[in-house]
Amino acid sequence: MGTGHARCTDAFAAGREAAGAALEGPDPRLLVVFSSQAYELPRLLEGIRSAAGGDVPLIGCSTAGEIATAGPGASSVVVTAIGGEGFSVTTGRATGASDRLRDASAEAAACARENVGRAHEVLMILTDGLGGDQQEVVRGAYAAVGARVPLVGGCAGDDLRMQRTFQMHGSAVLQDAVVCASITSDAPIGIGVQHGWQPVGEPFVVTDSASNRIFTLNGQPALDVYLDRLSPPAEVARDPGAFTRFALTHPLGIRRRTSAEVRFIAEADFTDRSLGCIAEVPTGGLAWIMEGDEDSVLAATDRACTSALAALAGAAPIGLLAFDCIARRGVLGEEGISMEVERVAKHAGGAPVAGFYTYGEIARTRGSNGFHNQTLVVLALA
Amino acid sequence: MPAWSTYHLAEFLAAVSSAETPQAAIAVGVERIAESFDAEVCAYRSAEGVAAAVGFPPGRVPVAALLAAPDDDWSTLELPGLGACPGVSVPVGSDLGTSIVLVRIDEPITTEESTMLRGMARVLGLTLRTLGALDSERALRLQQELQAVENQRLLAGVRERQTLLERLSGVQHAILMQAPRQDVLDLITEGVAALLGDEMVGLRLVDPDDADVVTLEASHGLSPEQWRAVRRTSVEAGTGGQAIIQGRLIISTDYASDAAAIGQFVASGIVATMATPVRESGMVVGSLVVASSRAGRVFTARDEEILDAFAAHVSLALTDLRTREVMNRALDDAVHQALHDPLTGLPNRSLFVDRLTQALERARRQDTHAAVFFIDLDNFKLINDSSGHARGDELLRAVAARLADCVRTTDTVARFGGDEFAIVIEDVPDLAHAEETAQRLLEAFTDPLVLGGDPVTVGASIGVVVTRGQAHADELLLNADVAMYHAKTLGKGQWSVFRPEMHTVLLDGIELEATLRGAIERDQLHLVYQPIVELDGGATVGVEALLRWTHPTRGPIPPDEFIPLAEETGLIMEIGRWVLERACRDVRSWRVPGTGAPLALTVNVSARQMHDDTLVGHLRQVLQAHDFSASRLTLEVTESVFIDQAELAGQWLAELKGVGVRVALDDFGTGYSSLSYLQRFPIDVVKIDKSFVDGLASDAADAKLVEAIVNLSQALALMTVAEGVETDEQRCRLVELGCALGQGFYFARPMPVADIRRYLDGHQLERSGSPSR
Repeated sequence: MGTGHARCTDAFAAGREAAGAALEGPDPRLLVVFSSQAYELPRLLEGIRSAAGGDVPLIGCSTAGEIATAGPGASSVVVTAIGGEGFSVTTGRATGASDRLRDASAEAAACARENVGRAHEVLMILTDGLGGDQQEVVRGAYAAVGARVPLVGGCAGDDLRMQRTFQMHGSAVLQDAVVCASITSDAPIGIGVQHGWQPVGEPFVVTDSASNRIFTLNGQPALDVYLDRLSPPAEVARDPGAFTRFALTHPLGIRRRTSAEVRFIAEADFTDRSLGCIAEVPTGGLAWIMEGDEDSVLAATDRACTSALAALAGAAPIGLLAFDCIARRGVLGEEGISMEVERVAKHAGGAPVAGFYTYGEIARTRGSNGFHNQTLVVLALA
Repeated sequence: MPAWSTYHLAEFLAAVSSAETPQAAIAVGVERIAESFDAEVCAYRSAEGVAAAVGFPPGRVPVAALLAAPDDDWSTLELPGLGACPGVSVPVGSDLGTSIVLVRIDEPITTEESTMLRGMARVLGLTLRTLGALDSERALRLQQELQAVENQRLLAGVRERQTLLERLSGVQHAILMQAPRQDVLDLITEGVAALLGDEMVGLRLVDPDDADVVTLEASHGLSPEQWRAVRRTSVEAGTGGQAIIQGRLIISTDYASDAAAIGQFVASGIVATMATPVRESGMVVGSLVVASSRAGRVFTARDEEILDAFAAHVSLALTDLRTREVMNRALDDAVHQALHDPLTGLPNRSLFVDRLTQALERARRQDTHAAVFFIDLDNFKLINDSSGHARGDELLRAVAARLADCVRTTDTVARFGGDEFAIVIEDVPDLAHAEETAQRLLEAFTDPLVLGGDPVTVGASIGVVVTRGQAHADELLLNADVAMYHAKTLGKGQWSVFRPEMHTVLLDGIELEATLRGAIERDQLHLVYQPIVELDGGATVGVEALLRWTHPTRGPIPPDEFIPLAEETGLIMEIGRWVLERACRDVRSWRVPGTGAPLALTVNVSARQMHDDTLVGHLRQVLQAHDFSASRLTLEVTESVFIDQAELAGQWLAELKGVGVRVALDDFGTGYSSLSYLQRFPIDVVKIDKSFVDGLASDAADAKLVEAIVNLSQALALMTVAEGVETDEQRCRLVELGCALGQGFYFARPMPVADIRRYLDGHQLERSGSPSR
């Protein structure tokens, strides 16, 4: 696996530079592109193709920040090339996803059926986090590949504008899409998932919700309950941008059988007083305010890397891919995320690291749940 | 945090009820079940095959393997690509052959989860049935022109489903919010009534203490008579009982001829009943019952499923309560500790006041009496000080057990700390009953307690208050306390019923104690001396020093009033030292009339002073300071020193004798007297109590006893002194019996220092004259 990170302003040149650096390894089987949408993405892809040729399968997405071995970046592009004899890759895509998230996801994930069988397998999914309940994406993919295949991936970002994201497949730049890459490998594949958040205070009962929108908590308008509990600065209750920035570090947790699952609150409707999350918050369930700090978030980074590497059963990693929630970036700050990427790189032990800041993370290794928020997902390849 | 299962059911209900077709409900159902249990595989199977499955790519569902899974728990199931997996299958609704298969690869499904899964399967079955009904309605609508009445029915079906969801959600919400158990159970019975429209609903649970009995825990629509009739019944009674015994849903459509029918309900016109078992951790623990008096009432399969769904919610509520109980146990322990006396395990004062307040409330409401008993042990301080705290603790525990044995388990016995106990008894018919109880409590102390193998006798004083509940708990306790103090003034082992004027007496007592504390400094104490004379000849050989207290406003206080007070409060230590010092100082220069030999002095020492570690040192110091020969001094103790602490008393007396003084035993022959004391303990002088001397002339038995004491004393070389000699006849009898010395009004009353000096001087002059009066 090889990676390249480019920051130059010209889209074509950046794509060419990053791909050129990533392609140092032999026999590329898949290119993975994480890019700021500050670039003109079709030109960026042309630049990548100019270095890699037209045939290598490619998936990618826009981000809320990029991650490379040397550290985090913004307004940049990171290209990863996965290759070698031991890998086989097929890719798939589905568009117009938001109206049919589950089916679209299953459609894109169907590529896994065409792939060559090897001892180990993973399905990487990149999707549009602003396009509705992303748990449906996981359900669709799970329905397509079943319990045997782990799922990994994340939701594309738009540098926190919360307006539109892009997905990339082959030479196409897409919107409202799900793109997948089925990767089979002779060597083990490891996935680590950690968030480092803890529920605090009394829980709320989710008394009215539909999919990823919460209308009432404890029978009261959800936004008011949320603001009452946290007493944020006044502009948070008026300004959508201020709200989103505040909510980044004050997510909700919902109880699962063995753990609390975090739900990022993306926006609030100041008219009907509801809260919009990135994934489903079930009616009738309990929800908590979650808290995290730099220490707990960084400790989660170590645990995610360790468990991903442990799954390699002793094999040396050839590279790590990180799908890191933008909210963690909010907690850690610019200095903190540098420390975090440094830690990931240290775990990689010299192997390259690539990744991006996401609007939601996907990781399913057991059970059938696999959509996460405020979480770091690490994919380790050997 | 409540059990995860509770709200997963709520989520599940919300998810499947949003489906519009049976196929969609099944698809959503299996998917959500898998997610709820973190399971990889979930399938819905029927006689026709596998209708939906998650965990396998399309076209690769291992239908044969899933259909082959047994209708129960199994250890492992071989699934392609996944290997041997643990899992379970549970039935969906009442349709035979329809079931949910759930597989979790790396962690077996627990029993609790299986119960939860059954609940989900039941909810799914219910949804499917409702959807099926709606489907046929739709088909009808397509075939014919839609008519208003059918439209109504369609609407009713939708509304019913909505109502069911709302009711079940309400129950779950109550469980989540940790509503009181009764509220949750009431919501369930009301929900059943609302959904099924039958007149009566009852939730009956097996008595945890008696498996043969069921109790009615919640009900809807029962008259008070009916409620009473089934409040507590044998387990097999009624359709509900049959559901418990047979562990399945039971329907009785001809209730009157049903062998298990309950007469009260037949009489009130019940024609049909349906009951389904309620389970907790898989065990049948009760049943949910509906009863109808509508002629021709037939329970449909949908009705059955509604009842089952609510029964599943009872299980949820019970499981949740159990979980909460376990979690709260630590808290409960802390609360228990805060409300109970750690030594005896009895309620403490706080809890007692709380129970008393409730008892008073009930007494007021029901116009009955409650009685409060305030119990204080006699001599406890003595035993505790002398035998050690461990023995004292043991005694308190034994007393607690005795008191608890005297009352009903519903009465509250509490320990307030120290040696104070209190009891509240409800439904006391009258004062006489309370007095009998007080007497019974006292009698509980008659038999000695056995502590570490030794019998120990302890008494108690009891104050009693009887009330109709008008008074405040604190006020009542105070009154009981006052009555107890009054009982103490009557002597040991007495009870006393509170009267308002006792407050005055008590206040006097408190004032008395305060004044006594300052009596030494204020020079209110003084000594008087009574001569001790040779009975045969009348020569004065010694004096006994006696303590007197002149109260600044009340005048002289009798010794038998203030000395027990001084002993009770511990003031006796200081006072005792003062008496010793003053007496030695006074008597130092006094001489036996005629001979000029130093006059002997007898000083009383309280049993409590046995615990004054400084006494022996003080004694030496006083003797030395006043150049008072130890052999002139006799310390007089009462027999009470030997009660329960004979061993220690023996050592103490030996120590005193080590200083060179003599020891006299006072009041011999009363109370606990034992002639063996004379032999066992280092005693020099025996004082024969006035009560025997009084009867010498008239009572042969008294004479015999005095003779025995004198004979034994002579045999043991002890001096005998007769007390309270008032007549010459008595003096003569005593001389005849061989008693050497005596004191009493016949010879001389106790006199102040100035008078006794004159008396001694006078006798000096009249050495051979007759004794003065």
